[in-house]
Amino acid sequence: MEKTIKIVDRKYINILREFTLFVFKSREQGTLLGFVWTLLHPLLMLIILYMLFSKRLGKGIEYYEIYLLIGIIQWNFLSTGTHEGLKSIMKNHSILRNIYIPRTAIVVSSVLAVFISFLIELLILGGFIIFSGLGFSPALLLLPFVVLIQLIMVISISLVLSCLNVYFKDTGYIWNIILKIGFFITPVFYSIPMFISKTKMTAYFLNPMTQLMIFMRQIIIFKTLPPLLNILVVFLAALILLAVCYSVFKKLEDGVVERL
Amino acid sequence: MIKLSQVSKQFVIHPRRSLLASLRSFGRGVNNLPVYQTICALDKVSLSLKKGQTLGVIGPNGSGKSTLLRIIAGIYKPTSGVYKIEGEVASVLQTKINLFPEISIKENIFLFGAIMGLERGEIFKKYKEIIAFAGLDEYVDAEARILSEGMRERLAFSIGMQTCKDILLLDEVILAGDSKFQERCFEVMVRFKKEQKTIVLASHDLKIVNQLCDEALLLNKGRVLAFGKTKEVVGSYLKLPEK
Repeated sequence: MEKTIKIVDRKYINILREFTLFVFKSREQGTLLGFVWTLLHPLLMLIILYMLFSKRLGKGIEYYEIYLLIGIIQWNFLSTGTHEGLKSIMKNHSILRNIYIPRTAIVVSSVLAVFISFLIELLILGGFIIFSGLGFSPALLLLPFVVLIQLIMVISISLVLSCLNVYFKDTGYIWNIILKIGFFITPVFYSIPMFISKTKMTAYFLNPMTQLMIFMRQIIIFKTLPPLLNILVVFLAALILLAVCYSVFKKLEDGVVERL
Repeated sequence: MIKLSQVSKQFVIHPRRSLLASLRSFGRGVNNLPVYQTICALDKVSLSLKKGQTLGVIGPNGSGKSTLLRIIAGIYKPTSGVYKIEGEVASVLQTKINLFPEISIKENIFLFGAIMGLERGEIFKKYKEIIAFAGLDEYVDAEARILSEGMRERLAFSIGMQTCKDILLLDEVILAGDSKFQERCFEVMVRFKKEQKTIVLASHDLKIVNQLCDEALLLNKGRVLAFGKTKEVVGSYLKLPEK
């Protein structure tokens, strides 16, 4: 039986919506503060990093608190989104073994549940922007596109990680280490020119997270449009990543269900 | 319509060994290569089921009944062979784990309704029927985890029945609940037959298979031993030396 899932398939969208709501609700289920925890984490990170670095690394960076919060929120989405995606197949193994559900929907909705938190965090960032007197500019219209690029990236990575996690239980640990290293080599709390020479900078700019953070900061803090060519290159890279990760997922998914 | 031709399914048993254990055995000079074992769950199974027919799949434990149902449901892909399924498949296999315990019964119904291919509006229409059929009117907002095993089975079965459009796959779940519930299940199954819905029922209960199924398939160690009129196939099953 051919079960091809088109992205515009009505059934697929219904599953995606219901499953995203389910994951979003069950993430905070049983906790006293519930959804507040999702918001407390980036705020706490902001306070700690601001206290630690505002005098040194943040020196000379305009609106360092906003600069920092953008980095934290974007990094948080990458980290939490890929973690939830990674666990998604294993977490729902009993359902996957007994009912046919498009497997991509399980992974994508796990990421989308984190994406909802990410969007709310962006709203809080908006509050910070107003409070700090920075204000908004028309450049902000490009922000959804940057957010979309990051969403594509997180979904792509999660698709591959979710399968690998079934084949190799060590995947979660390894990904954790990669994220820990990534946090320090991505300008979450510092700006790149402070540390490296121009030649080394090229290597830094190959990190798509660096690019996405630069885009978002440029739009929000500097109120200018990032070079469109740069945005298009990163968008194209994200689409290629999605195509590669999706085909890897499709190759592995049947074996994955049998191993659950 | 369900048509299977020479369908086989093999599972590879992967030995789970940590990297450390592999390195240790390598250090000791022991053969480090993992040994893969292959199990043939289904061996060249062929069957054809027309719209509106009810098939009973019988056989001893480990004969391949659940694997066959999972292939029809699209959960597993066969290792070899050709198959064609026409229509939407609703499956109720292993009801005990087919619900999400952390969300309410109402949310479970909406989630599973979507999984079975229903629109929100359609689920709204069927919602009351599902609850009433499962006899859980008082528990709609309760988390599924508080339900007893029987209640969970009833709910899962009820969702499967109410959301079935063309083909319903059942794995031992007809036995869910008390005798009253079983009676209602029978009534629905009879109605399904009238509505030209196809049912595939895997069961150890030969009485139920005899009462409900037009045809039966006897499996043993993944092979088809008999396929045809229910009475004859059940008779062959009873003659098997070890069930």
